[in-house]
Amino acid sequence: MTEQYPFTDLPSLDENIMQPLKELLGDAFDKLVTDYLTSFPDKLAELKLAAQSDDVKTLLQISHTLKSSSGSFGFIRLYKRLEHLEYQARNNDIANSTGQVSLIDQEFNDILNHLDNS
Amino acid sequence: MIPNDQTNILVVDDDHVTRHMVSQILKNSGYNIFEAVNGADAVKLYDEVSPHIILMDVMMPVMDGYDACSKIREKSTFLELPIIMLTGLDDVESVRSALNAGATDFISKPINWVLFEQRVQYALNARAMHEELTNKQVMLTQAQKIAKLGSWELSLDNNTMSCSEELVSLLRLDPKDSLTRLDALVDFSHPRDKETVRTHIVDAMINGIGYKIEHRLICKDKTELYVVQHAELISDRDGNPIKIIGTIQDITELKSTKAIIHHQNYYDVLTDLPNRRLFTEKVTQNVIHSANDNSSVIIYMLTLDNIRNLSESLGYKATESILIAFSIRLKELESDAIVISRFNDSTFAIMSSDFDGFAHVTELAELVLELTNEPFHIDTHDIFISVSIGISIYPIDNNSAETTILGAENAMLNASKDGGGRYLFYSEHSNKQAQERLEIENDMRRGIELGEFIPYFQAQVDATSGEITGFEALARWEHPTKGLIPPFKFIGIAEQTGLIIPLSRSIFKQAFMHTKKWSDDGIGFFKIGINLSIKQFLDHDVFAEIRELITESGISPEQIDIEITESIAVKNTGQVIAVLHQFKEMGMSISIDDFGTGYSSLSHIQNFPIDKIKIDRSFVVDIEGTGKGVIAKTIIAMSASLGMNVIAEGVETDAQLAMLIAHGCNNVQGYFFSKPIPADETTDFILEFHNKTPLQTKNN
Repeated sequence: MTEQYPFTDLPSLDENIMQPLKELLGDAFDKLVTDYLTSFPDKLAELKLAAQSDDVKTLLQISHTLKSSSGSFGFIRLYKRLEHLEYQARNNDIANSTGQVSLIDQEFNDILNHLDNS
Repeated sequence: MIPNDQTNILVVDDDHVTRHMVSQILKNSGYNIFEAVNGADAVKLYDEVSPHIILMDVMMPVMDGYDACSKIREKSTFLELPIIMLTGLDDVESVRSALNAGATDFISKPINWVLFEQRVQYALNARAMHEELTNKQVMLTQAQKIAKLGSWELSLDNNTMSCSEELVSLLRLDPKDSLTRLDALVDFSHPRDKETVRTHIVDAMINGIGYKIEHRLICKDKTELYVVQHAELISDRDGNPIKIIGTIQDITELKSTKAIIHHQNYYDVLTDLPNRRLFTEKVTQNVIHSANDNSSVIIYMLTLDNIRNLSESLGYKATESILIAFSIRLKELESDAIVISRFNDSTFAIMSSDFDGFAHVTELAELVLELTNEPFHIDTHDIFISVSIGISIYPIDNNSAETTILGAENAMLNASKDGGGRYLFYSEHSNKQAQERLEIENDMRRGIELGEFIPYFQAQVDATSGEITGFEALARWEHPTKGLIPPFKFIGIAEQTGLIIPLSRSIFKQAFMHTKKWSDDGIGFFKIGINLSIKQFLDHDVFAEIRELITESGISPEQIDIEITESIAVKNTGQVIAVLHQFKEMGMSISIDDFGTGYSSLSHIQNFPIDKIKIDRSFVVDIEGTGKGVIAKTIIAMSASLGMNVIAEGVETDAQLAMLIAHGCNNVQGYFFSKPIPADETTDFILEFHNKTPLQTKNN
């Protein structure tokens, strides 16, 4: 039984990453974050399918890509959950990948809510 | 540094969000950004945009970051192109793979945006510095190649050496070879320079003294190079020597250029003969040399008669052709003792340091005149042109190089008058003397051949015992028409012409024969004094000759007293001493003749293997007075203290004899006892002398 890694001790958003990024990107920040947020659900859907069909390769590729961009914005808990999934896929240990993808989905929705309220 | 707007950055990431993020941040700083979505795309774009830096994700579809990095490295001529991997893979294996692929650095994801731009800027700065350094190294290598400058470095810790590619190339070594020991470098030095090079290197190692020396190298392919080697000692901060660095520059071409410049300065362009400058220098050197060894320098100045008229009618080209043709004929006369020069325009000059008498001088002039017997073929013309020669002899006509040359020029101008085609000496006096000397020389040669030169003998007496101790052999010329000719009239010429050698041989031979006969006949066992000239010491193996004459005559070497003048001893110390020692070893005794006239001191004479000093007659004449006579007394006293025998020459009166005996000089020679007499009279003189005391001999 593979353990789940919810990383609830970490903040959803690390302002120390996002704030400097905002300053560096300036006006482009909004477009990039929108781009990220709108493209994420499609990727998440692909992850879910891959988890259900035990498609390790797709799990690895998509978790790696989403991990990179999520971390870059400072969505640190999401980053960690994606990183864990990538780690499991790399080690061909995907028995609990569906649960892991659900945690990722949950975290993404929390981020959306957080951004709507901020 | 390259401005940001001219700096191309290639961003490679399959994740469009991260890629855009990175690109936008750098774009905001003014860089030119190019994006690739995977490794293959990046390799393709690399050729098009020549990025100054590449930021690349590792995990990408189609081609990952490692492969892309390797392929770009294969293409890049600039080894220091920064390729920074953007990766979340920070395990050891990933790092090793990235380094093996050619990555220069990592930026871990999630990217620390605060430091991101500085990291990129730092990599660009490093690249710029590397590029500048590489450019400078390339320039330095090229400059060293152009300057043919190789370098080496010796570590004093372990005596290991490294050297530059250019040094390997200079030594014609295989490019993969290197010099690892200093000895190997020394071994490439020319055998004659090896010791100098080694000494300087050792001095640098031991005493810390840098050096700059010129020497030759013999390369691997046996090419000889002239190089300048410059080395300095390098110390650490505490002043301890740690290494020696050296440079070696090939200056062979420079040397050759210098040689060309030297040739242009000292040789005539038209004829390639020494020019006026070189000729004058050589004359000056020879005059100095001649002043030291009493030899002569003969200068001939030659002008082609009417060359100016010829130039006007045939043009300067034809004149030049004649001058060249004449110079070629002149060169046939060249030898070690003869220097030929184109002195100016139509004047040539010859210097001969081989003065073998006036006959010889005129013989060379005749040969030059004969050079114009044949016509010069210029174009379709056969041109007959004569030459006029002026001759001046140092030191007979003039007493310096300059005046001797000038004298010959004046004589040449006189010779060219009234049609030219002849030679003239500097002065009428010289012309007359040349004629006279020429006649004497020829006469002497004949006289020597016919045995007209004979020895006269003057007795040397021990005044206290009244015994004849020996005789001095003196040359006389029994001339068939001029009667008896004293030596002062022919010895000088004999020395100048070299006739002194056959003349002396003839005298020695006869003198030894008579001395031997007196012994064999029971008349007496006498010493025989013979006079040697400097010519015999310098140009001739006089020892071998006398040894041969001794064997031939059967005389004992102990009977021979070699007399040399004080001036010979003073001027030619080394060579003369060596020969004198040979005489001594064989049993002969050595006397210094005419002592007191040659400005040498007794202490100087001590260096010679001398047995006896002959006091010159000029001191004996005045021995009763207070002038020169005092010198004779002093010489006697000092010779005694140095353990040398003394003999007084020119004793003519019993008062002089008494004074000499009173001062301790018992050996005497002079008219008081006997004038020089021929051999047949000498036998009677000896027999008569045996029964009389010296004073009785004189009184009777």
